Amino acid sequence: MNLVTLVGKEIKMVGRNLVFYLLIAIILLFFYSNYATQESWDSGKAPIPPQKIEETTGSGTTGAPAGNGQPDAPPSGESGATAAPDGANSEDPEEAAPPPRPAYGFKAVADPKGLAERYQLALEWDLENGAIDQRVFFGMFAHQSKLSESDKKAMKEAIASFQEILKAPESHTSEEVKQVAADLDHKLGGWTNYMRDGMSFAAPIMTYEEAMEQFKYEEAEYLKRVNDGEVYTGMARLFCDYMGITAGIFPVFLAAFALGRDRTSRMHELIASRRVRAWTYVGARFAAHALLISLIYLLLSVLAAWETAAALEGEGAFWKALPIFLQYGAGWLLPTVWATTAFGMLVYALFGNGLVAIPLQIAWWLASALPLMGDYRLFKLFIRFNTPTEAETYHHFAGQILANRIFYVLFAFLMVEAAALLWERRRSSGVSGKRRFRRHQAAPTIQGGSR
Amino acid sequence: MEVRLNQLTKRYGNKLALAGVTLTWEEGVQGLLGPNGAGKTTLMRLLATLLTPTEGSAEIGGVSLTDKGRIRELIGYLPQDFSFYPGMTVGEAMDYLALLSGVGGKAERRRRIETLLEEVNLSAHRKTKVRALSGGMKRRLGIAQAMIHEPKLLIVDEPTAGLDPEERVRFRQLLARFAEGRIVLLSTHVVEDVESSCRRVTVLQNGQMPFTGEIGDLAEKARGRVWLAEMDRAEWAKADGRYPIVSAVAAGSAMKVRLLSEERPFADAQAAEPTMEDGYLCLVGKGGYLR
Repeated sequence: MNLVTLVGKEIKMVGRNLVFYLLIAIILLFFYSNYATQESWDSGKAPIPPQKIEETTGSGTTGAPAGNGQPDAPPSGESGATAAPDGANSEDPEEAAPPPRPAYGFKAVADPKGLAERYQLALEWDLENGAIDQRVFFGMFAHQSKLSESDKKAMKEAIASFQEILKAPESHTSEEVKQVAADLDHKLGGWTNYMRDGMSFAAPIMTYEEAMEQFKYEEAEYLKRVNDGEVYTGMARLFCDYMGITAGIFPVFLAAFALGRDRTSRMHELIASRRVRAWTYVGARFAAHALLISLIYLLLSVLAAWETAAALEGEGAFWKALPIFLQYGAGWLLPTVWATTAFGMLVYALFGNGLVAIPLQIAWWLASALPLMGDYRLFKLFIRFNTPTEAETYHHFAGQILANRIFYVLFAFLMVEAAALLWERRRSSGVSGKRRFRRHQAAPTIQGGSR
Repeated sequence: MEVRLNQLTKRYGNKLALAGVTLTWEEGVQGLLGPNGAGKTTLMRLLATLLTPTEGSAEIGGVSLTDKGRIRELIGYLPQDFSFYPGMTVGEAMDYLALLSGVGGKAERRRRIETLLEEVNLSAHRKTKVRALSGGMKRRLGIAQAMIHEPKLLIVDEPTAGLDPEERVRFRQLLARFAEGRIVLLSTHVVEDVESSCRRVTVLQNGQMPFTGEIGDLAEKARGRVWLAEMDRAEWAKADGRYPIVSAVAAGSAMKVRLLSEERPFADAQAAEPTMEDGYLCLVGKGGYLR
């Protein structure tokens, strides 16, 4: 059996499938609406120094957060006294005046002291309420969980840990603070706001001096990224974060019906009675789907490198970005593509119905979608790392990410093997496709003229 | 080359589809006759490894049916209900199935495909999409695909359904040629197909095998029981319920009837030379007239 020739023929058949082209269109749409956006380019570029804003009052609009330190709204008074907005009663300045606005936007609280203080406040609030927000069923549904005595004990221990950090915050890192919260989340059963990146804290930037300070911090961080060669790797991680979302769901719409095609085309008996081995047949079909969809993602990695290089430095940087994007695209996205494809085929082989794979895949996808970074347990189908920065955080988790990816490559092949075994069993069962569920009789009934 | 069945049995739940069939088929075209639901398709699907026997055993060319991998190399199968991926052309469908049958080498596959498409009169349609083929053309393509790997046992289930008379004749000739040094198992409920193609025939009814042997022996089963009579319409209406009617032809106001009866049914009825169809109807007609 010439496996390569068979894979070639299967690829040709996938190429005739309209769903395949629909898949490409949706992935491209997702790429241009999520990754290849001004917001992404801004987060990858050098920060822009803030412009000093003349103090005015009563502009009427709220200050907006600006990640690059540049305000997009007129400032409010430093003292907090502001003029009334349009249409408000100007005779009652206490009521009419909008609150003081962060004229220079917001900054993320990243220092150990600020983080520990805010986590402590949140914990005290939850303890007082006697309940916490906690997602259930692999994070798919929001739920408010009542605190048990052991939960309260764990939360009090965490508060004590934060208080300990606050005694000497300079001797701790923000990573340690986040770890205390993450450990608490684990004790509470997971999927609480205390999970990694379950909460983000922002502080307003009220003055030009604060904005400059923030700018210098961001600039230093950017320069470090440049020196460490982390600009394109960070962008590649962001690209994979977004595209992993698509790789974890869309391939199943093709793969779940890949084996069912034989039955719908009434070709299953012609195939099942031939000498082809189950692994060759199912493996070739898997390989065709996996290769074609992988090719889409690799080409998309090339496109992402091109777009990113053009947006960040100009087209000359393309050759620098290309290997980085290809490396991340292959390492992060392809295991997801293969696992999703294999899962679709396995579910069909198991249930004899491709439609069953769709809700199951959606459930798996939902369980993998959150948090945005920091959770790479083995049930996470795709890798979330929703920032082009935080290289240190990435290196902290690199081992877990690698283990997750290796697991999914192996798991994909195991699922294909299982699908082949099931296909072989069905081959001589007289069913070879749709499973018939009957309450009283397991075997199909005799139909006049058919047997 | 022989096919041996030994007490081959297949049950679906409580329903017995094939009841301990024991026989031997030798090279040549072997007819498999029986009414709808007799167990023909079950038997063929067992031999094509699409079903597993409940009891009994079978061997094809000395290879046990349990050795499915080797059996699949030996058999070619044309099911009763089949089609192809509609987007494929005739040539692509043949090439794909040849590849699944392990026919190696592009040149060899091309040679076999060209020969077979010529045989089934589809050469001009090599690049036609399968979805554009008529029912008869699809069936001819089905026959060609079953032969592509030159199997030792060719199993064809109701192959002439949907074929026009000229195609039927051509098809029978094709089977006869292919059967040289091989076994062709031809399942049908069209007696004419068996009569004109096979030397031996096996009859199945309700999963049982009431007959297997030479076609002439099957005809002999009806000797002395076949009668020709000419009667008016009123007599015909009475006779229709009383005797198994083999054929009835209107001749003006009268009916020329060929019927089965243990005794002379009418005073003017004349004994007729039995055919295979008479013998077959004696076995299975009206619930098994002879048995």
